[in-house]
Amino acid sequence: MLLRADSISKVYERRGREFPALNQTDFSLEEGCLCVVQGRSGSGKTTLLNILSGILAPTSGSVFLDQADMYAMNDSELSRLRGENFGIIPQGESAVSALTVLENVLLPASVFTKEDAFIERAQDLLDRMRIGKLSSVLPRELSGGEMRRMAIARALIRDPKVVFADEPTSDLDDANTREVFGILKETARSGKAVLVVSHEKCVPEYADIVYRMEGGSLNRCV
Amino acid sequence: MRTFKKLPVLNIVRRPGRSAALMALTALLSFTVFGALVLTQSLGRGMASLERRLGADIMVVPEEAAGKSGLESIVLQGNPTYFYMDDTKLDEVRAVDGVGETTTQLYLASLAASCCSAKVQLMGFDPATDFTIEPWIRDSYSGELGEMEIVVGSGISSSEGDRLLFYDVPCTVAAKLTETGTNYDRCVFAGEDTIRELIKSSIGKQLNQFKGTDPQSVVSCILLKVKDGADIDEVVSGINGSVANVKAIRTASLVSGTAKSLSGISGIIRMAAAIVSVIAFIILAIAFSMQIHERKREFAILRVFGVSKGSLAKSIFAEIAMTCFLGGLAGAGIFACVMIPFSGAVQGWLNVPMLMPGAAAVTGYLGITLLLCVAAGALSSAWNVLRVSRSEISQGLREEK
Ligand SMILES: Nc1ncnc2c1ncn2[C@@H]1O[C@H](COP(=O)(O)OP(=O)(O)OP(=O)(O)O)[C@@H](O)[C@H]1O
Ligand SMILES: [Mg+2]
Repeated sequence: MLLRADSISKVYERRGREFPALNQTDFSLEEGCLCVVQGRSGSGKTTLLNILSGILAPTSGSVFLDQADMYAMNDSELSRLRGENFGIIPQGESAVSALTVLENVLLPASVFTKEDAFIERAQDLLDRMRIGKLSSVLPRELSGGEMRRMAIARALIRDPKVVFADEPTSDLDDANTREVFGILKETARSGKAVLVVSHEKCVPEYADIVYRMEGGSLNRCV
Repeated sequence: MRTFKKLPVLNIVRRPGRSAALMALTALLSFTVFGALVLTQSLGRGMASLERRLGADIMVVPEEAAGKSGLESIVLQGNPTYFYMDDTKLDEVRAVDGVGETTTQLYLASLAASCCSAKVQLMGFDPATDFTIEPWIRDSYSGELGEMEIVVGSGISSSEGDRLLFYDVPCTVAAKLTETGTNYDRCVFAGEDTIRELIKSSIGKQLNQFKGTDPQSVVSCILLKVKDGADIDEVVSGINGSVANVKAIRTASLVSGTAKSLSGISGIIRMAAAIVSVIAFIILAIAFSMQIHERKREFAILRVFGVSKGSLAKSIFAEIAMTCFLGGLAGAGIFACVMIPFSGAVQGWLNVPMLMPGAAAVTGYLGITLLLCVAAGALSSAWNVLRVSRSEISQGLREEK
């Protein structure tokens, strides 16, 4: 088991009142598996994904990567774990505006190491995403789909163990959506664990496992 | 080079619009602080220079010249002037109790006419007894001033070896003096004998208002130091009581008015600088708070990719430090561009002596100013930087782009 969550829950505070966004949940994710979480807006999908990807501490419960208890770590340890093991595609636009497309992709590789060894890989990934020619362009000149593909390339640059994608196709047309899912599927086939939050109808064609989030509770459908 | 390490620079270079307002604010701060430092120092040095040039405790001038106050009008107002008294007055002054070292000066004003190269103040001194002008001339010229040789102030546009004409008498420029920031910079100095020749020629040409003067037996001004322990005011009244037709003036009283207005101007400059600095600091703090808030999402994105709280804070502070450094440099540069060409005008307008500090001192002030700008940036943003770098990542990701 690569990633495991033991009875995690999240209670937000809203104007002094508690709001349970995620009920006690167990979850696990294995290498080579493309797992999709579906559900209505506000049902708690991003909350779950953030907790699993080391971005949001749960109110209760623990998350383990291999054997490491992520939320028992201090900030720099957890940051490092996130940078080295996770490829994260946040919900919405996530480009760093002052960096070119290539630099955006190299960014995760430059936080802890020299990025030189990754330049070729970055260019390869951009070519695979069919935005190789745009590598020296600033993000504000990209279309929504190109921006998305840049975010995918960036998530894959360090060859992460787990890829998290929060609605990676929300602003894409059908063809682009299928392309993105194709890439994510391929990523899973190459031995990575992939967790995707998505509403797309085509999901069943690609997903190995499908969950449905409803009012903070996670139920397996497929 | 590593992209993450380069990010502070790239944020400034590639998003110039974002940094421009902050730089402009720091430039204002730097302009004010650097300007205040340089101006107050210039005024202080000008005053010190003026006091050094005066060098004497008491000045004795012909009674009818007392209104014009001799040295005062020459050094402070810069109107070329001249007047004479019998040189026997020197012996009478020397006989007064408490009078120590004495020396004399002889004045003449040249004309803006074909007989003269320029309208300037001519000052003759007695090399044998002088203690006010010569020590200063020694800084620029080590030889003896010969007949018809002159030394010119830094503000006179001629150089060593040039020949200048005064009342049709040619004089050779032996040296040019260092700047004093006072009206001495627009004077021409020579031995008394040389000035006597020029006076003679001016009388011969009917261009001197004291027609009956015998240049050989007059002086314009007696400068003296009092003996150790003697009271300057007592010596002043001693001379005024016992020597007829002259007026003794305490030199300190000449410059005390100037000193007062100088300290007044310095005070105003400091006050204005302090007010502008405080305002700039407050606006800077508001601007940082707004901009950091605006960029919350981007900072959260960096955290997502493994940047720790500490590294994020460092990266933001690095960008702020660079922004403020560049803004500070710009502000000081603008001040220099305004000040260098217009320093003469400012001096004339304030009507006080000013002497720009040397390059080393200016570099020092620049260093202090830049340090201050960077510190102001760090301090005014510290709270917001620490808050944003420590805030929940998921919260930052929820911020609208
Ligand atoms: N910081 C917060 N404070 C209070 N409530 C929050 C906070 N973050 C999220 N919520 C609430 O928790 C619930 C779940 O939010 P979450 O973002 O996980 O939903 P989601 O399923 O990802 O929705 P969407 O499909 O719109 O992205 C929502 O009702 C949301 O309003
Ligand atoms: Mg969501």
